[in-house]
Amino acid sequence: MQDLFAKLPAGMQADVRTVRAKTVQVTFKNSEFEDIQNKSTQSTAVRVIRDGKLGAVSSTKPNSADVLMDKAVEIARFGSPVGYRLPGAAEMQQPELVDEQVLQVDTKTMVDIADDLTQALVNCDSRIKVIAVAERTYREFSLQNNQGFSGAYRHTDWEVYLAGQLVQGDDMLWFGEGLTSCRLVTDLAELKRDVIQQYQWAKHTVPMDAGSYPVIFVPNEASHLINPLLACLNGKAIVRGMSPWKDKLGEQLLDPRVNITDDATLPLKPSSRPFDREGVPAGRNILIEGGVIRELVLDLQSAAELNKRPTGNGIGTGPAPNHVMLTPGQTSLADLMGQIDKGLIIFGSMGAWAGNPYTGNVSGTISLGMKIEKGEIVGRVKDCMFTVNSFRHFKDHIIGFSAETRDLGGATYPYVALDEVVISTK
Amino acid sequence: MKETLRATLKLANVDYCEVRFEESETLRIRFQGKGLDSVNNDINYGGCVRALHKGGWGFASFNDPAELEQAVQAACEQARFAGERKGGESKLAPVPVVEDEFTPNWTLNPRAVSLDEKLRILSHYNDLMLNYHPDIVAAVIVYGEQMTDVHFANTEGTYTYQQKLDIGSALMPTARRGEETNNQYVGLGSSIGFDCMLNADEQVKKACQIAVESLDAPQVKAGVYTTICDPALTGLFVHEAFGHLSEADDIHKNPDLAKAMTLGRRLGKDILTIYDSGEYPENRGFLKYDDEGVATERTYLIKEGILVGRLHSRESAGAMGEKPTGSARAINYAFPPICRMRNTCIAPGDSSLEEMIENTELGILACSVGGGGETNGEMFNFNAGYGYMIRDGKICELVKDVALMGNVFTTLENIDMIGKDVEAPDGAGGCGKNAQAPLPTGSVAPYIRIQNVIIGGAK
Repeated sequence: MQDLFAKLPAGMQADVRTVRAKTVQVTFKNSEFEDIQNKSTQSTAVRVIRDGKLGAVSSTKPNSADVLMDKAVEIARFGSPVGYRLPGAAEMQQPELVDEQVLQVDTKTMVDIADDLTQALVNCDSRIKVIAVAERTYREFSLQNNQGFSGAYRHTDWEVYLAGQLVQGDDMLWFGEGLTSCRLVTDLAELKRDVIQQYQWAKHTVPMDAGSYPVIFVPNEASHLINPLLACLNGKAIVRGMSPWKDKLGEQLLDPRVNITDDATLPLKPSSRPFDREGVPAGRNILIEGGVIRELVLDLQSAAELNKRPTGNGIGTGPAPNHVMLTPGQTSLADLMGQIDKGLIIFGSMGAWAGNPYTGNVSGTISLGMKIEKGEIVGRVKDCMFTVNSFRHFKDHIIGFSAETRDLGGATYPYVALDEVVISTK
Repeated sequence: MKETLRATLKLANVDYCEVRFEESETLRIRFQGKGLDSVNNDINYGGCVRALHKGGWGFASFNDPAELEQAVQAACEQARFAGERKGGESKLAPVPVVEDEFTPNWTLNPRAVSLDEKLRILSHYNDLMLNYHPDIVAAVIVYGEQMTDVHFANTEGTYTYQQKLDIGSALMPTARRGEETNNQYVGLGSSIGFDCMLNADEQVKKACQIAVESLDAPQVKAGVYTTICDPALTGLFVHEAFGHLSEADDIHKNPDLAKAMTLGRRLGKDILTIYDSGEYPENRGFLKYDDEGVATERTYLIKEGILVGRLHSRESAGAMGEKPTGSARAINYAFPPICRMRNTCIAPGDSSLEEMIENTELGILACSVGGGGETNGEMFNFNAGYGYMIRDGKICELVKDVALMGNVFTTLENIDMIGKDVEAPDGAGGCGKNAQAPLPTGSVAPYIRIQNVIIGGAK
């Protein structure tokens, strides 16, 4: 690589990132063995800063780094202006990211795991059409630049997914859960139990009137509500004038129970890493503390424009969080539910990711939601849509966060209970 | 390439095997905030092998052409393993053996337009948005241009080479006053030329005007409304609310779903005709051959309210005893083809927009795309960019945050007026399914009126 850097004209900065990955995926679909997929990928990405402008190119063609370097030099003539220098060598934490057992699990074992998951739901109700996926991935990352940075790390991912579909007339019920980890997890009893529990709750449909209710969002659904907060903390959105939270550092914008941290140093989390795409050490940053905005999510460019220190969140196209955690509460999910006289718990929604995050508005069709009456789940609701404003609801309408959390791959969230959630229905 | 692929396929010792090899070059330009944000050039190069044996599939993808033989062996080995475990039968619907090479008939080849000129044109739109009004505080422009060369060969003797272009672009002004923010969207795209990016000033100004006016607009009141969708939203609606349900890859393995989608079932009024087509080269869903080497066609899904067809791969068509429709598509070589849409269209009706409005006592005219949509087969959800209340047959105040949802079956039945004129809106992004996104798709659609749509919003 140093030979490649040596060819660069004086004054130019450059970095080269390579990623190699091997994935094996086993899928059961419609309760049958569907296929085995084996994917081998490699990619090289080169960035060059020439006369203060950035050129970025990438290719999956083998041995393409030298061609890419020439192309990046050329495209940098047209590139966007940058206000930073690429980082040099730095001390970095090396979180544990590899479980050798993931590398050793063979295809037959994966087929047996997916088959076992499938049978668990089929045995529960043979009418259910099951999707079960077992996937293992091994990745190698390396990044070098001509300013002295050189780093590499390896990563294993283990993903398991179990879902069911039951079609009765025009009624189509979907339910399911997944898990993602760097570690091999073969005890899937909890996953099976949770998915079967969803089905048992959803068997009966109950009416729901339009109105405003207390609602519990399971961790995966809570992510739709937290995303507008993260979007507003994004340094690029601040710099570009998209985020309404410009100049809000230090201000109490949310309920004191809202504490959000971004942490790339956690062991065996799929989104942990020693350094970001730009070679900045990735660490732990408190973003929101006691409802007060404490820190932004920054890459080199946004940090330079805001005259701040980069936070190790560069992904090449801007900053993005590493592993986000919303601090859980003290109350169990059961107790949170027990506080609700009439409301909902939402397990699945559609379209809640769409829309403009900077308004805080989040609307979604409830694809899997259960009605709560007197603290108990009484059945599934249909034809309902929820509307929340994340800014207002995380300020004035928090009932509580559960003590239980769930690891979602890129985040760890508790169950989030909010009051005054607008439910629209027929 | 043709001879290499054919020679390698001779190694396949399974019921059926196919190989694809692709090289695509993507130019991505992004403006964000006040100026140019990034210019990226990416090359995606690689291939895949898919094998079928006794009803079991194996799939292997790779980047290095030297791994081609190894991939054939790996895919075949996996297919045999899956087939033995499954003990089924390989049943692909027969299709003509094709040998063809296809290059689009350019209206303006994007490779004939310099990067300088593309940046100048996009910069013009950026300036137009930022200078429109003091409340326009930022703008985002996304321009994606992907040129792909795809070679396909199978053990039945088919070989196709296709050059494909996909231009998808979004021009989005952001207005802000105090804590109020509003984004609007102009979508542009094509499969045959860069000229889709020209002459969009009036659309951009309209989007800026709506963004500024929306700052003072109330959030729509949640409820159930008669809703008129403009052609852009109608296109998104027909894609989300019905197109996905027509994809046959689950239907043929799920008898309960097949029953719900029995051909001959009435799903709408006589005025409703829906089809999906690889035609319309100016749209992003244009396609000559799918990723199984099957020629695309116009596939009628609903004719005069009756379900008459679905979108097939060779496997789903073979299992259901129906004709393949050229709908098996993969986002790139790293994925196997699955049943997907191309351009999903509603045939024009005989109503004018004025008639639809005049005949609506209380309703919403929902306009422009405000984010993607989603469906789970039975329910759908999508967001409009903005809307107007309709009262007593007249357009009234602008409203924002219009999110629409409904049940697919009842909503299709509830379409009671269809416009005379169609439009073919395009834009950035694309369709997602089974982790394959964004796949370029398009639509050709008129204004439609739907009764009893659930609208999310303020209490």
